[in-house]
Amino acid sequence: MNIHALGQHVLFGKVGHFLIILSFVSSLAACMAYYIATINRNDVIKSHPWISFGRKMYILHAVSVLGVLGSLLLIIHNHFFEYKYVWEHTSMSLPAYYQFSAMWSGQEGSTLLWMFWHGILGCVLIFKAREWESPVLTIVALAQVMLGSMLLGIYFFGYKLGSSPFALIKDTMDIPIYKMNPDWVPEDGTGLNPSLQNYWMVIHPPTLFLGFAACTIPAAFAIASLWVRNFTDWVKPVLPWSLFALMILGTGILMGGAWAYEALSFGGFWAWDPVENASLVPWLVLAAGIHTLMAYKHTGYSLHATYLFFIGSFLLVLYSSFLTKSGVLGDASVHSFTDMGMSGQLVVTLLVFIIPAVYLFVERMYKKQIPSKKEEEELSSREFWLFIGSLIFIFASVHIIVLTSFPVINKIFNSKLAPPSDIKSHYNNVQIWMAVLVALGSAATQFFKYKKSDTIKIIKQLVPVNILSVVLSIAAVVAYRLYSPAFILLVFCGFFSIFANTQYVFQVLKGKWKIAGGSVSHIGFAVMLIGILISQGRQEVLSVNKFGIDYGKGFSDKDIAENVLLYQNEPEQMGKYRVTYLGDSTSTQNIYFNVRYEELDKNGNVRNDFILHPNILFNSKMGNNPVPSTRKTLGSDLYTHITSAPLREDGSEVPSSTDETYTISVGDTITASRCMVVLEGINPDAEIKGFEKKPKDIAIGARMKYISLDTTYYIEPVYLVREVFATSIPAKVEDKNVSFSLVKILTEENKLQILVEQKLNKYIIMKAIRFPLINVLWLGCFIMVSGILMSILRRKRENRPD
Amino acid sequence: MKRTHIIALLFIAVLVASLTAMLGKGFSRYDSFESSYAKKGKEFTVVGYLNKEKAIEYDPTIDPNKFSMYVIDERKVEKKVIVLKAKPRDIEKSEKIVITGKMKGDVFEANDILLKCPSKYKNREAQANNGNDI
Repeated sequence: MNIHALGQHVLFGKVGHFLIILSFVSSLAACMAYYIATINRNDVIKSHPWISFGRKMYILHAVSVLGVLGSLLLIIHNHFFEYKYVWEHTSMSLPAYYQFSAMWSGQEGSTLLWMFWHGILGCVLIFKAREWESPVLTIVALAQVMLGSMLLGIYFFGYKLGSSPFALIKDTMDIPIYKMNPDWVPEDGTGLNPSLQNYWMVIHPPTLFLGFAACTIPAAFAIASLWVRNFTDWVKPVLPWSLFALMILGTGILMGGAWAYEALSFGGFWAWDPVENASLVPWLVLAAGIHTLMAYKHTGYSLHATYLFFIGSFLLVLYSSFLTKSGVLGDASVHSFTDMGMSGQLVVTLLVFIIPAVYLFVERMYKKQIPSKKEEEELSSREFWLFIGSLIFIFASVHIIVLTSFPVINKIFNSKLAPPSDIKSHYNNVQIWMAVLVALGSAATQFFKYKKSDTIKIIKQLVPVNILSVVLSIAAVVAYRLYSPAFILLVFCGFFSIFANTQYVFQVLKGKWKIAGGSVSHIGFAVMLIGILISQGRQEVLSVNKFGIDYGKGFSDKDIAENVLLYQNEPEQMGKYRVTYLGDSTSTQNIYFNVRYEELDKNGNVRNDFILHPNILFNSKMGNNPVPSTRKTLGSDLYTHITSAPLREDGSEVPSSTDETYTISVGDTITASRCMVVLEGINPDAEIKGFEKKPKDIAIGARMKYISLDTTYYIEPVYLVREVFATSIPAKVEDKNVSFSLVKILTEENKLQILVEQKLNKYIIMKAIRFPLINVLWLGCFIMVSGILMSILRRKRENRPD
Repeated sequence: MKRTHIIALLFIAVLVASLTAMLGKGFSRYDSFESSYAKKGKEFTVVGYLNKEKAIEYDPTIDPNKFSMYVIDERKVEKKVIVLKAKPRDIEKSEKIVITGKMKGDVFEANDILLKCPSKYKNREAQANNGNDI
């Protein structure tokens, strides 16, 4: 064993830990400096030095966070397994590019990533926020203080504050070996969770956390605006920031979906898993906030709602990190969360933001300082419908977050609520109506003008696109058999939104694409909805279990029998494909199962064929992990994953034959794999095919009835005694690869010993799902993100002072 | 009162009403085998652990979508559980099992199963202990 010079490696951790403390102290200093600058904002001579000090501290903070990340990457890259984080998340065999995923696969690393983006965004704000710099950065720096405290890993009056990624195994785990050898270092790490070894995991977490960090900025502006009682000037600078957060967070969530689709065996891109929900809800609330902000910007309505939504979105981001990091979701999610004893700290973080935000909002509202209009919105005004639209977003969010919060509710009220067993359909059945309303609103609302509009004119305007949408929806409903009221309505509203928004761009905006960001993102959203509806609602499980063993009464849930068993080289018909498991091949870490799909035409000729390679990634320490394989075509995806295969723990294959001896008497039954054999009688003078008996020979036959699913045979293995030699002559059932021998006759007990030899075919149990039009879903995502990007550029142009 | 306020209140009312309605009946509850026995046909979520001394029966050659095992719930009551799914990997290593389903006769029939495997931390401590190859 290679004994490192421990002292040298410990230096990295010492530097890293020092940088953590430095970043914590500097963020605290920046927060306080900006706070003092904000309360003295009317006195330039007093506030200016504080601003300048705050800036220096914040930049120092950002640089030290960068240093922490660098140190962490160094200890991971150099395989210093004496560090618990390195040991827990990496191993010698981990490819270099996954060292990045390893960096943020632990709680400490993901917090660090979040802080890194806050650091960058804060530095941008220093240069761009002008008069908003001090109040906004006070809040951003406060967020950094709270996050930074989670990495400290130092004891504070007996309470362990945070958990440092630079902790040594020696200091955190009580392992007896250190008593014998204090310099012991593990030779290898336990390795990165195999499901994280995917290229999406290299880019999804940084994007998602940039989205989370970006959500802080609109909330910081909102809180700042309440704080300094400037209720109007924050609108222009906050608009590009909130759109940026919407774009990045949306992209991050979708990348997570793509990862789940490609690397996890969820069987889809969205599983309504608590972790997914917790990141979707802040996005929905932020989207609501942007819409009410537009109403406020143009008419002065909906300011209260905007404050609530922007601040709410940020609080929900914090809440989601509480959900995922506190271990409270234990019984509700497939993700394994470990409680690191920081739930208290996470709750405090939430309160640190909730209490002042609620106080500022309520106090300003109570004193009627927040501007609001006395007169009512017109029913025919755009601001009215923007408000209604945002309420739908909120409605959807509350439904999702309440269900996701069951474990929290149970903890607080000591109740026993459990989510419904078919959680996916529950969410789908409720949320599809939200989608219908949102699509409808995103189509029609833009045709309403701010303040007041001519409703009759709008209806007339929209007649042609309505007709077009009806025609196309009928076509889509028939083509994809979407026969359910909700499906039909959603398809119609989706088409309506696509065409109405296109019409708006050309008719009202006169084809000026530079200002069409909103409409483009609405089109993208509608395309995405249609893609989701058809690819998920019309997904077709090809691998319906066809062995059709009777489930008995009550086992009528055939729809959950989604796995099928395939013997090697025995084709099965699945949907329009003939599917054959050809064999497998093993690489260093994976075993690939080659599954051939053949599409047959009416005459049984192969029209089209391809081979998929679903595989299993071995990991002796964390269990083997199936990796799906997907055939992508323009029209649909065919997704295949291995549910199980007869493998040993270490991944090696089980023996290919079995032999078992049964001692039975007449009338008894042997149950072997896929067949039953009944011993019907003993034949004292058996005939042997192709063998001439001599007079003194004794040939005893066991008359047996072989019953399998499709056939019945009569077989007779024989026990032959010639002089002093005894032989068994087995009876074979050729097409079933099984043979029976009579090996011993126990005359005293009146029993026979039968040896059953079975050649076991290799098999896999797999699941195959076809997702039609899934590319429409990805196209919609792309259009939506592009639309938001167009809006950001437009708002940035508008803000430019010239 | 403004129209928007009325609509907002209406939204809240619908939300509260529908959520309480759902909580009232539609949802399953975390409970023990005994109470799911008392209320047959109603869906329950039972938290327990696998009896590792009794065999898990799974023969994919007969039915790949069904296996049975013995689960002991939090009140130490043991029942046979039939799960209408393929046997999850690592079930033998699980330290906690969450099953959702109904009691049918003396057998709990589950259509959903969730496993909690030992936390990495504990597992690894044992590994570190075994790895003392000096």
